[in-house]
Amino acid sequence: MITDRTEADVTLAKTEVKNIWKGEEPTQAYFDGLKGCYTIADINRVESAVDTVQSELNAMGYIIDLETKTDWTHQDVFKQSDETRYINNISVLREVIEVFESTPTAPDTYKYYSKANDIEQIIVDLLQLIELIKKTWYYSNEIYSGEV
Amino acid sequence: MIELKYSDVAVGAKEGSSLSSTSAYEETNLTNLKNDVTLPNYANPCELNQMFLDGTQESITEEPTIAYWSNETSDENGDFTENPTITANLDDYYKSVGISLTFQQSPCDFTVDWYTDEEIVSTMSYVATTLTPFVSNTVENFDKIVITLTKTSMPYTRAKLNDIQYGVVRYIYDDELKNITVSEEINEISEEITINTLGFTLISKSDVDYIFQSKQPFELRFNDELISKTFIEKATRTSKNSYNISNIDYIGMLEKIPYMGGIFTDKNAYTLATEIFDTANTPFVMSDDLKTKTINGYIPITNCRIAVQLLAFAINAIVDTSRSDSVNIFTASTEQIESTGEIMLGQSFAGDDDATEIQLTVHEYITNTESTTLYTGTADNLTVTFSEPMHTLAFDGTISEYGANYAIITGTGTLTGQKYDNHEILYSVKNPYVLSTDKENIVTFDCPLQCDAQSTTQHIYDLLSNDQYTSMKMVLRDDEKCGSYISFDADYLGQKSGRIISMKYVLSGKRISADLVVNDL
Repeated sequence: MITDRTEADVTLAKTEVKNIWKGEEPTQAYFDGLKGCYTIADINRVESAVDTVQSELNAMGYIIDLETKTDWTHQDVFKQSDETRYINNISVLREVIEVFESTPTAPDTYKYYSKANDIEQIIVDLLQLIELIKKTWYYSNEIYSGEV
Repeated sequence: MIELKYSDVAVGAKEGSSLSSTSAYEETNLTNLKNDVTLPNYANPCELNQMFLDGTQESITEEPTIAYWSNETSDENGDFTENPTITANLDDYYKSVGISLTFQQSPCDFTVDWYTDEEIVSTMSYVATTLTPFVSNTVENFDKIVITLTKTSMPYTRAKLNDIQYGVVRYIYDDELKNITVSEEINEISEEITINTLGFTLISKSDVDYIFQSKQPFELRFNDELISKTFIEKATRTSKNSYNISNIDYIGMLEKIPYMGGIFTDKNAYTLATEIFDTANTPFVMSDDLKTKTINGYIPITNCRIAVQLLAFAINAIVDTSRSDSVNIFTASTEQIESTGEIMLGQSFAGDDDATEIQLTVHEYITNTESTTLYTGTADNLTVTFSEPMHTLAFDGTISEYGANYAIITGTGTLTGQKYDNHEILYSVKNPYVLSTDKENIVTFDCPLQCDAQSTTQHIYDLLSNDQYTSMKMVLRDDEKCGSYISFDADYLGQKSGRIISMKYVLSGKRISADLVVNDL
């Protein structure tokens, strides 16, 4: 997950893009998606992670039914309805279990570098919390009590 | 600083184009290529590196406002499997110095083919490194253009075209301009509506030739403030790089557009103004206090300038275009500006004979049943115009369109109509203080269109019963412009006030020094 995008990444991305307008050949890093831009690599990574978190939480008994799409391509158009669903998924997941004090609030957009970081930080925290919860089952022997 | 924005474009080509395209995204709306609108800067993160994380781009709505987007996304080299095309079929033959495109987000390489009567007369390919490329290529008598988008500058992106200009927008500055003369005038009672003008000499430093064409627009700015929007009336090339240009404003342009008139009964003034200005495809602004006025009467077949004048006269409005990019119709301001402009020595004071009486004749048009023959014979989409207003038209063939002054007919037979009775009503306001020894000066007006005739008569009387003017040269400092109600120090007459009705100046230096005529109030 990417949680360390900065304003400098955005500035650098704009420069790299203009250089390509002027005829510079794109690098592999460019094709992988510039860190200061949002790309299908970011969307598919987040959507897949949402799937993972949802599955883990479902397995733990939480009832969540979020729609995801994990196969975005360059040919697609990411519309406002997709954005609403995308952002809402993060918001819903963040409310399922108690999160860290440091966990960011659910952002209302993905279009600013710090908000994009927040989306992925929430997922990182949730995955970490899920692991901690699972460990508590072992430590408390709950796993052997037949309740889990 | 003086800046002249010149739209060196084929006038009418954009409006007269019929657009079609291939390989278009389903939400493409080519009409937006014809409208001078700012389109949203949408973010589509699916296209590679097209969405910067700075929060400035908009989400793509379910029904996005776009012009042309290709349906296909380019490959890793920016190539398409099938190059998208945009075709503009034009309604006439045009001449331009080239073509300017505006892309969204990232530019495309493209080829332009100019056609005359379905034959390619010129072709240019362009590798774009800017979002607003201009292809310099003077072509005459083209009636079709095909733009083929051959490559996106960035891989995995759509081609997105926001605008096509059949020419180029050029910016000309002080160092190329000489003798910039501006003339602005208003008529307080709109007995006529005056044409503002701009004249200048261009000493061009550009390698690209100018092909000044009638009606091409200019926007003149002085220290970033808009002075005028005018249109070429006459351009003369006096040497290789020197041109003398004479421009007129929107009012002058209105004179060239016919208006078919009509009979109006309780017609809203703003609605009527909208109809007239729509006919001329001209922007206008009407002050709120005038928008609710109601009009009655008649406008004969005339031009749009006269039609606007008749309307303005009836609603006691002033019409002006100075310091604006539209026609402004407004009520004379009663808010006085204490002018701090520096008045040069040499004021002069003059006036016409004060009116002792104003007589205004207005007309009421009442339908009668007297039928008259307007045309007999065979017609094929023939426009028949009438010498007086008519109603209840009848024709054996088809009347496809009609008004009080005309009918467009197809078929064989006789076109008949019924007349109106024209009742004249005289309104008068007299100066109560006229002595029997005073010279009588009755000023008469005839207006086929009326709103509140008594109020109009009084309005005219108020202005003409004290018809004194001050002429002076002033270095402008405040918001002084035509129509402004100013107070100022007169040479030996103390403090005076009045409305600026004329301003003429040569633009140079850092401030405007204008010859003013102020109507004393």
